[in-house]
Amino acid sequence: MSYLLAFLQSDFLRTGLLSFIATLGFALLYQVPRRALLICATIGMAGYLLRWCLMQWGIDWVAATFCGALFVGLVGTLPARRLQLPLVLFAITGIICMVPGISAYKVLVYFNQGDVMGGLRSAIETGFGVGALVSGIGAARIITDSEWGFEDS
Amino acid sequence: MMSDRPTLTVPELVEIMQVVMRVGVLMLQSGTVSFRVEQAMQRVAIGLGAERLDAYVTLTGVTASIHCGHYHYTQIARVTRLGVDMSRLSAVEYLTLYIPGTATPADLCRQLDKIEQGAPPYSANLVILAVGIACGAFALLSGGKGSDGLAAAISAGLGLGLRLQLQQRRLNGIAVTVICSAVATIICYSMMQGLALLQVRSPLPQAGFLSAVLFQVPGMLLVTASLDLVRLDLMSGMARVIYALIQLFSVAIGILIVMAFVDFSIL
Repeated sequence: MSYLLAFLQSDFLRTGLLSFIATLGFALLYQVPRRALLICATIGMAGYLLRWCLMQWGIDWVAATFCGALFVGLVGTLPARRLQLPLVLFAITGIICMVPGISAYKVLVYFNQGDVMGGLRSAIETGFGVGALVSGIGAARIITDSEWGFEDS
Repeated sequence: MMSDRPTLTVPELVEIMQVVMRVGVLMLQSGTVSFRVEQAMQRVAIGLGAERLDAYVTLTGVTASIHCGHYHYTQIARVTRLGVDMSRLSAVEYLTLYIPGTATPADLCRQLDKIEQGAPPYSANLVILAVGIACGAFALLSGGKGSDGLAAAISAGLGLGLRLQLQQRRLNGIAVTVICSAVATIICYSMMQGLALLQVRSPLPQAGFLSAVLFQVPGMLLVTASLDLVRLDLMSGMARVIYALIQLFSVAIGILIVMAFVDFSIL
């Protein structure tokens, strides 16, 4: 019990709070309608926390990112239907915390410094990260939206 | 299907097409997936009495043919000034979902005018503040200390402020991205140097530096690109991927320009 309490007090809450704030900031940048703002931030936080927890349990970060994105894609359909807002609104703000922006920027910087291996490593890392996000969102869309899953006649 | 409707004349078809194209261009400019744009355009066309609409939507242009009886009419629209505006997107999509049976093209035009002229829900200052704090949060999430978060927050906020200003003056998008990432990096560098003078040194300053330019990450483009590709809208999806890569490279070039002048490695 005390172990659980310490766990909650430490990195879990900090990560959750930070990802909530980060998602909220980008939701404002994308001019998300007011009534969806807090929902977006919560979905973004939940997705990021899911990925974080899976990584803490020793699951590979690519697989964890896929699970986080799949979660965001699946959960986003509920408020989208209820508030009659586009689905893409919840999907995009939800995964923004997981976009590997930092490693993407590192690619050119490494190459510029002559560190070819470092650059390649960052590029591959970015590719895997984006690929995991994309397959998570894509899979969620195919599961929940018949228009996406089956080609129309 | 629409047998109860009278057959439209060509001028009527042209009038409907103007609304359909406006809906398509507005949704594309707000940054949504091509498939959704096609769907919305078809809803508007059928809602206003046309029989069928074939739309071909790419990132930089819309081509569509509208059919009714023996007549058909084709129009092309160029799309520039791509951005992300979810509230406008939601408003346009909502409008196309609930077109009253008695609506005329002029009615819809008036509603589109209202959506276009409506002020965005959040003021520029609020957005700058929120994005600054968000970038600070990213710095902390990627392992930075409080001082890194502060430096990243302030430089990202100032960088975004500059970006909004330059975008208003319609400067080329690549130039805007390069300039803003260079400026944000310079500000972040000077703040870190200043903090170092006060004996506040960070063990991992890289987190702050790279988070300071995160406000220019094309996250939206990457997601919409992938959704286009899943739908096999290959042209549109490829265009979005290329556009996202250009933005990422522009940001990196901005960082590299600064690094060439200051004696500091961000890695």
